[in-house]
Amino acid sequence: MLTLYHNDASTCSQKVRFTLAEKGLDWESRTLDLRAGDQQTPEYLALNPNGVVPTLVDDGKVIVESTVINEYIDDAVDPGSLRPAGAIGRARMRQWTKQLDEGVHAATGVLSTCIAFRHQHFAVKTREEIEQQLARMPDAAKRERQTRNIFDGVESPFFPGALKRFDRLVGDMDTALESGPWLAGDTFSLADVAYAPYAVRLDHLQLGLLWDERPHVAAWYERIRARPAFKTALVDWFNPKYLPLMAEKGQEALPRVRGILAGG
Amino acid sequence: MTLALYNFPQSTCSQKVRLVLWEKGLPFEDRKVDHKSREHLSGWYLALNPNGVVPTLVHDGAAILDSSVIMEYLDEVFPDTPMSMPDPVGRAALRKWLRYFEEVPTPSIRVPSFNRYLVRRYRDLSDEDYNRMADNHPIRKHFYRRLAKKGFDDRETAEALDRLQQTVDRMEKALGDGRPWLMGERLTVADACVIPTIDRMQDLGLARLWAERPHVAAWYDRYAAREAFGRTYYPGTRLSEIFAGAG
Repeated sequence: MLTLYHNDASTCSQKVRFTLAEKGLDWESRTLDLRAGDQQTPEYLALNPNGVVPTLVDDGKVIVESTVINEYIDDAVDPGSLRPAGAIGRARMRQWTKQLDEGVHAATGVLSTCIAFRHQHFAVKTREEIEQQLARMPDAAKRERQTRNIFDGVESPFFPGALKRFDRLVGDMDTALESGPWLAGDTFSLADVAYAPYAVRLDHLQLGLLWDERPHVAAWYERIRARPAFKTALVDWFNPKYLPLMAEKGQEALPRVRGILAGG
Repeated sequence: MTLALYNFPQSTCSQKVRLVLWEKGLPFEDRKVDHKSREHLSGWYLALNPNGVVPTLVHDGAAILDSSVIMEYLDEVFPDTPMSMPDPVGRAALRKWLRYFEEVPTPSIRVPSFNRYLVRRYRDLSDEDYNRMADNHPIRKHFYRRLAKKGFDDRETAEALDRLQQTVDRMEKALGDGRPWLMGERLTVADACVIPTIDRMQDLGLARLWAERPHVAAWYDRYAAREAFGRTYYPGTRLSEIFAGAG
């Protein structure tokens, strides 16, 4: 019996739901409200000491880290169907999935906060309350980044770096997709599964312009979106409160975004 | 007395009326209109129903349009096995449900239905053919134009799901006192008006919207156990069956 602890909008949760759907596996859903701090309860920390989503529990066995969870799920039934057959194909796939954990995921948080999610803080807290909350963050570098991102939005000194990281990433994806329809080559793999949520997040933040001149990425994104598993695992879970916020604030941010991409 | 129902097997509004016909034990001619060949937009059908939608009831030559109107008409003309309320206040409360279901979940269910299945019918049309098809619909033209072959965008989809969740939540609250049906002890056209949408949600894989709403779950099981439900949902009435195996 598979139980997934997850959140509707979390990119790492989307990755795992996508894999479960591609494999046709039934699973029990336990959603966490991250804004309410469900991931910090003693019960959840006992399962996942990192206090993040998702966590998979398979008949009592606990697996954390979405990239690891995905390979575990791929082994569960019809083993390897979401991984290339040969060693070189698998290496390519893992080059992609590893990259996410080495800065891309963090950059997603920067973009999302600077453009959209910062407004959620201001909607319910005073400036003072936000500052008090930030003061409780133990990691000084993280605290500084989050402070600037919330208070300065797209003027945060961390925003241009995050945006340019994605610009480079989309360019790299376009180059890879010149050789085949999927990131690791000819077959759909966990690399495509892993990158789908990030493409969706960019799209929702009105940053799809990053692939206006990258036709292979644009075509790859349409292929991803056409998959039935994409609908059940991602579309059906989109948060109706976040999407209008991301759309409106994303539109507002476009002049700044274009300026940075043009070399500003 | 002749009753004929022009309908599609899979149309939620057609299912509402079939549920009432079967519940009341009323014999009727089941006139299936062919959606694929766009028979609902043909000259003869538009003469019957200028809106180009199903269902249409024809009773002794008179055409009755709009599923809620049809349901209330049937209850008025065939009062055995009553499915309305005996008093004006009760009827007003019942109509509050009908208006809410017509305005909120019935249009919203079209979004995931189209995204999940129905958009496949239009994928291979040229833009010109698609637009011509859209413009042929008397009251759905703008809906199809917005759908624009690709389906609804993510924001509209999320908002549609939000409205469906609101429907489930309102029903959960109303059923919370342990009553079997929305209006209390009696199964009424209010229940018939919404169950096809709930059933469609299940067929689209959205049953999780009531995973934590036990009264709605129990109400659905209760209705599904009735003979009228089995008669209405014969094989071929679910989108998953019609589109099985299609890419």
